[in-house]
Amino acid sequence: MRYVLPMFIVIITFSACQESGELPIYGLRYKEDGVEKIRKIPDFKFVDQLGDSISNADLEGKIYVADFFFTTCPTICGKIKQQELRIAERFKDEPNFAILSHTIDPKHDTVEKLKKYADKLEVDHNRWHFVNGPKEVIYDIDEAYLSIAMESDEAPGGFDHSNRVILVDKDRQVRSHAIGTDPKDVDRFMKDIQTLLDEYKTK
Amino acid sequence: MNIKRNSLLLLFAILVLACSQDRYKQGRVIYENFCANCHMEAGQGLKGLYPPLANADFPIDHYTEIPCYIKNGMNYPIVVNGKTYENEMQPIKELGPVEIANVMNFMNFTWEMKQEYISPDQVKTALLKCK
Repeated sequence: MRYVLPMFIVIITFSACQESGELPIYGLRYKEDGVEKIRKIPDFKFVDQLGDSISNADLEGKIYVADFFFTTCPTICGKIKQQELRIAERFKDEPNFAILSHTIDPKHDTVEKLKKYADKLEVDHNRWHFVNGPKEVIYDIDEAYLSIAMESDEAPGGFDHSNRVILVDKDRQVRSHAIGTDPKDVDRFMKDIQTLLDEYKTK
Repeated sequence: MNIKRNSLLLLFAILVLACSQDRYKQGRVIYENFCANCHMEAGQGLKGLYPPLANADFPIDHYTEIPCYIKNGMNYPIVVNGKTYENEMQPIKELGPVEIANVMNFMNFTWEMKQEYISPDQVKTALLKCK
């Protein structure tokens, strides 16, 4: 019985630490001219569902959630979009928040198809961009997002990355990721998004 | 003695209840694996993209054609509860008559579609009539 209180204090202390901790910065560390740097999301330029060009410069000053999908996907995409709709709804009043959904089937998913898809999902076209680009560019950046997100956690070998949603900060660093089909993991992910938004507010 | 008998009765009641709640187990598993990705876990669909199956007029009005939709997919617009849906449905070739019957009976039972129980043989017949 006399251990209960100390145990209680220990548990409280540890859980408190986890709650208030800043998000980790994912990404391979390397040295350039003796300065430690972290691998970031590379420059990009795509076209969104409105036919507008969307580049990393357009998202400057914003944090965003990235994912990869295609409009005719019969498997997990619907569930991920269902969860992303929750995310969009939760942060709809945040001016510095965006979602970037990349099609991995750019040949089929033209601007018109993406527009129709976005309309059907009833999204805010100015905040949620469904983007099309050359296949090899999309695949390269897919690789960049996922490899950065993964290198600190799960082993990449044989691991299905495609269900991930990835949180990117204003410095284009990956700060969190989640299984996009899992409502509980997405709950945790939304807490991370809030933590990141708060991080900028206190700065 | 009475307590023992009562608890046995209770156990029996729980078992019956548990079984009846999952009467269409294979159908449910097939639904979760092949259908819920788009039509969602409770058959509610997703916005204007994927139509609902639960509380929806189209699946009831076209009940006998459902085997064809599952087997061959759908690539034309349909109206469900007054709303037009035009996203293409991919065919699910790997499901045979037994699986299709099971998933249909699961949906019919779970969402109270008030349709007759469908047998694998009836599914086979329906598949012969696909357009």
